[in-house]
Amino acid sequence: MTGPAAMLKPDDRESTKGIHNALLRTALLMLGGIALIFGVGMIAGLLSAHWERGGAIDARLISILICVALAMAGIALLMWRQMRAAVRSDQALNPRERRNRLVLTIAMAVGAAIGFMLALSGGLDGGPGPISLSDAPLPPSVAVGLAAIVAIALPLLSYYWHRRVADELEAAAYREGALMGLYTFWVGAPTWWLLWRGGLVPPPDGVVIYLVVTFVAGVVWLRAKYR
Amino acid sequence: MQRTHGATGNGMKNRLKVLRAERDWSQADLALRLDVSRQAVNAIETGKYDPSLPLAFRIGRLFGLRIEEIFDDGTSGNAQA
Repeated sequence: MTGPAAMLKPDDRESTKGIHNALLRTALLMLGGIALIFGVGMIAGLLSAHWERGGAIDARLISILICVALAMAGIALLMWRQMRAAVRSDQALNPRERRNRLVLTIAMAVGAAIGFMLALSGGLDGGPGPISLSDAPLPPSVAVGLAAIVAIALPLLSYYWHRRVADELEAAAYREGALMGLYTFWVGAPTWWLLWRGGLVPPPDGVVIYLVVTFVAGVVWLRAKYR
Repeated sequence: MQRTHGATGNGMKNRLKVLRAERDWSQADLALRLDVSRQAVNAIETGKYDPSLPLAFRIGRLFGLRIEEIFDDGTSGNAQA
């Protein structure tokens, strides 16, 4: 082999492959987490609807619950195997990358915990609006607990990430993502607001705007970091 | 759009891959020595990311070379991709 390819050590090629595997693994874990939250919400919804109707627990309900539980167990097993693979590949990382992986894992765990708490409290049920994703009321204690997690954990984790984890490529990618997210907000929010005032679209929804801005910032960050 | 250092690369050529190969270092080895991620080393080597001046100096010191002996902005013709 000649040329630049000959200068690449095998672990460099593995490194590029490893990045793609890590991305795929992260996507699988996120999808798995969402599926688990959806499953918990489905079970809670089925049971509450059944109890509201005052019906006895019959074989049909039990079989549906067993199917959902089995599907959730399968997803949890898949996630567990992916996490074990991630831990194994972790041993080849340098300290900064290991800290990065740790922060991502904690962030995902916090996100999953919030999702589970929302699902269990019924806060993921759609509200009355046509676009609203989650404006159903929450018990005050759950609302305060979740707000505290977000208001305390997110700044602490972000501070640690910026100070100890992010190298300059990561920081530049993050800035690029944040900038595009900000422009998405600056352009998208007033556009929606004006169209709503013209009676053309439903009223602006803060949750949808938050999710779109986060999605755009995340995609641009990933592209800038791994292109 | 013209970009500055520490941002997405302008395709600035550099000899990082050659210098690394001469020392039989992997990208992970170099990343560890520079205290950056492997992705950062890969992005610099492929010209997708231009390092900041402090990192460029660290790279120069590590290889015992001046910055312009490693990086080429296209006007001096020092470095090879």
